[in-house]
Amino acid sequence: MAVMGALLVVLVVFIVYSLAVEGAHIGQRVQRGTPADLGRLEMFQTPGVMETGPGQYRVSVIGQAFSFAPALIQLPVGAQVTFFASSRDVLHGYHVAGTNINVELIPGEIATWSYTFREPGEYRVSCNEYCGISHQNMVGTIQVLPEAEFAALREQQEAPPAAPGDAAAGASLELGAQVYAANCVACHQANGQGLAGVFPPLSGHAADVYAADGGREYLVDVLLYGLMGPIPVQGATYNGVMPAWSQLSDEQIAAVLNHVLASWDNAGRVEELPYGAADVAARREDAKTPDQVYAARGQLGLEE
Amino acid sequence: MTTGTVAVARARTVLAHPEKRVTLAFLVTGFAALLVGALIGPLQALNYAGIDVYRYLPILASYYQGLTLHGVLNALVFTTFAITGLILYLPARELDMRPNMALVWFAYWLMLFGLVMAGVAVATNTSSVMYTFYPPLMGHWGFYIGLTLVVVGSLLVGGHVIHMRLMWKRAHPELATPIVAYMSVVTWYLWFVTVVGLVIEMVFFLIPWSLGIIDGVDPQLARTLFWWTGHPIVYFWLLPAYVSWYGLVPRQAGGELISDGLTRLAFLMFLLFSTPVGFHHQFTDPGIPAAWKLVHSLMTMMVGVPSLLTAFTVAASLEIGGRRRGGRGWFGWIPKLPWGDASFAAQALAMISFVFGGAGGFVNAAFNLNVVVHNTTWIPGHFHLTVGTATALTFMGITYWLVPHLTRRPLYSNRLALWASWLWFTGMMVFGLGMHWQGLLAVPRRAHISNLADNLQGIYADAAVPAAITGISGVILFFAVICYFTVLFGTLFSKRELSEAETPQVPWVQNVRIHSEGVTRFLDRISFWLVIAVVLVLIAYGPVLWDMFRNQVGIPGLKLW
Repeated sequence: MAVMGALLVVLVVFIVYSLAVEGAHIGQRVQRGTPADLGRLEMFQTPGVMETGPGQYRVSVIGQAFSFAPALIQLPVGAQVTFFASSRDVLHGYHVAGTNINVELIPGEIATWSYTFREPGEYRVSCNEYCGISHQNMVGTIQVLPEAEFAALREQQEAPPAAPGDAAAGASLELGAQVYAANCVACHQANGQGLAGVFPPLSGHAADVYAADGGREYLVDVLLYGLMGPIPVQGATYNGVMPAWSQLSDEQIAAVLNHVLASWDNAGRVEELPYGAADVAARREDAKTPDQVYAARGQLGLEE
Repeated sequence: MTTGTVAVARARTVLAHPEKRVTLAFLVTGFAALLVGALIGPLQALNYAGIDVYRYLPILASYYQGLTLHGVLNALVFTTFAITGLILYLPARELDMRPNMALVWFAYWLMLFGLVMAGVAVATNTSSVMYTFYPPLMGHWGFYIGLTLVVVGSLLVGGHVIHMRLMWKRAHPELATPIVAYMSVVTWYLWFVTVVGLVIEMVFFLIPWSLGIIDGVDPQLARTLFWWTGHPIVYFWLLPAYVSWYGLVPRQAGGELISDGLTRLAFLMFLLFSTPVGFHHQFTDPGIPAAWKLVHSLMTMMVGVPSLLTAFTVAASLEIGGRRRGGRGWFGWIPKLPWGDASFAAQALAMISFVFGGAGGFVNAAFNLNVVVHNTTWIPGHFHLTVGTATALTFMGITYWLVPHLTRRPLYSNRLALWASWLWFTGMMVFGLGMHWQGLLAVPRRAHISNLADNLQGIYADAAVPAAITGISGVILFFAVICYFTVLFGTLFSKRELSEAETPQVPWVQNVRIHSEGVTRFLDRISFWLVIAVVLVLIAYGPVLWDMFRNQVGIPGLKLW
């Protein structure tokens, strides 16, 4: 009995000790906040990686069906990293393979945890909480780079972009294809056909919308503010949710719209590079709800 | 014997024990659910091996609908129906009391109505939210109401069994509750303490939300209420198997109950320690303070104590049987056990699987190890060894004698029943190996990975070997299902009638009545222990839930499948 009691005490001491010393990877609440609040919170103003001090970084991530924003995170090895994360819609998980990072992303909860990546390499991030039909495709990557490589990368990213010559500068098709592969492909698929009954096709449909009266502005609003409600597309009704992508930059949103309108059955139906960053910036001034975007869709006069 | 006298004999049995027919109804409905649920199982296993069978199945809209059906039918419907039948019948027979048949049949029809309601909701793909119901994913109201009715029906039966024991005690104040009835009644008390969280979640949140009466539900609160029920429910699944392991199997093996008092103590410990532990399913939830997670982690370790008690005492009771049959030496008694008896073999194999399931459970319960495996395939790997084998295979083993006992039909084939048991055991052990291993490589659970987007193909390539092992287990288990249900339906629809003498009787291990005195008398005051259990739950959940109730963030529902 005494031996058993002693063993139990030893067990408890070990657990408490390891949590005290190595427990920072446990996700804890910073504060509560609805998905609508996320855009207003300081830590989500600049999603992704931010240097907060020498060797110290902050990473802000939002989970939304069916991707992490941002999906790719690049960090230097050995840095002390503090994560902030939440969900914009339903439950998601943030599990980094090969580490002790495993946190539930819960709408209403803003979570924080700290971690130091001691080995360079690519770490796979998987959503490990069922979140809907494309849950399996919700993955991300954390690249941990040697310090010199990370510094070079930072320098490259901070270099000023090419001087804006025309409206579409920066909103290139290459960038659009990258944004599409990272954020859109899980639902709308690489061939733009969507998933039958769940996510609508963009192939052909995006060009139809663009051609409608008011469609050009509506497409930007869908990306910035999301869309919710049943929509008929090419003979089938879809009742999913399009999340808001306002955390993407103006260039990225313009680029992905340009990419979609230049791809699949949309190709050749719209002039080249119809959107520029300024078009997106203009639509940001008049914030809408997904319901308002849905109502605007009804005004387009789409024949579907 | 002419058919006339057979009919008379059967009528007499039914008149003497009308509870036989309702027990059979509960069992057959439960196992029918298992048949459908288990046939979907191999598809899930093949999914992890990269083989997508779902695209060829027009009846299921998606992998996730199939997985919801699999989980709901196996883990919620099969268990609840089979358990309700089992621990209604056994205590009624042991106490020699007739249940109120109108009440019990009402409960059965209520549960069946609920099952149909929830079944329609899942079959029409309106409720592919998994059996964990996590909002903001929102299913159809019929799904939530239907499953709530299944629970309510089981509570009606449970309350009635508790009442029967009180009546028996009133008539026999000098005697202790007989052992099988004691274990059954404690299990029902545990079920009452257990379901409070789920019932609050359903009645005050999910049902009004799905009906549009309230706009939003706080997902963190809903998860916490769910796991109030979600962990101890596994003991509601497991303890009826323990009833058989302690109270019936030793007799089948020719052994005896090692200790009456120890058995009662183990069940009381489950009553005390199984509910205030739910946070170990929520170690990764940001909304629960770390200190409370630690408290629940340590409480979970306490549940290991009665399970270890069970492992040693049940093994010892079987050892006695093996030695009486001529077994010598340290391990020589094991081959002497009645392995040729399918009912015994199934339950002994179930016990072996639980050694591995229980060991994995300690990992899940440890705050600092859990993060490595939380929501990976490790978790389904774990609970297919516990509820999927320890419980399910024990129940199968019980049906090998119980269905002939209830129906007076001979077991269709002991040989095929042995095949079913070994195939199930082997398939589940292989499944467990593949799933635990993949989990350590951080492969997420509940993921349609056989249908990854083109640019993600190969993302889990480092888990190819355990993934293939998981796929193979699905094939083995498919054959196990075919064998088992051939035996079950072959028995139910047999034309042959057993004579009174041939009909198997309930293999009670303890046939003497025990006087209520000393420690036994103390242990027999179940209501006293119930109060302690409730106090422990209030301590473990009170402060956290109180805080959550007062600071709710309502999130609207979404349908993303």
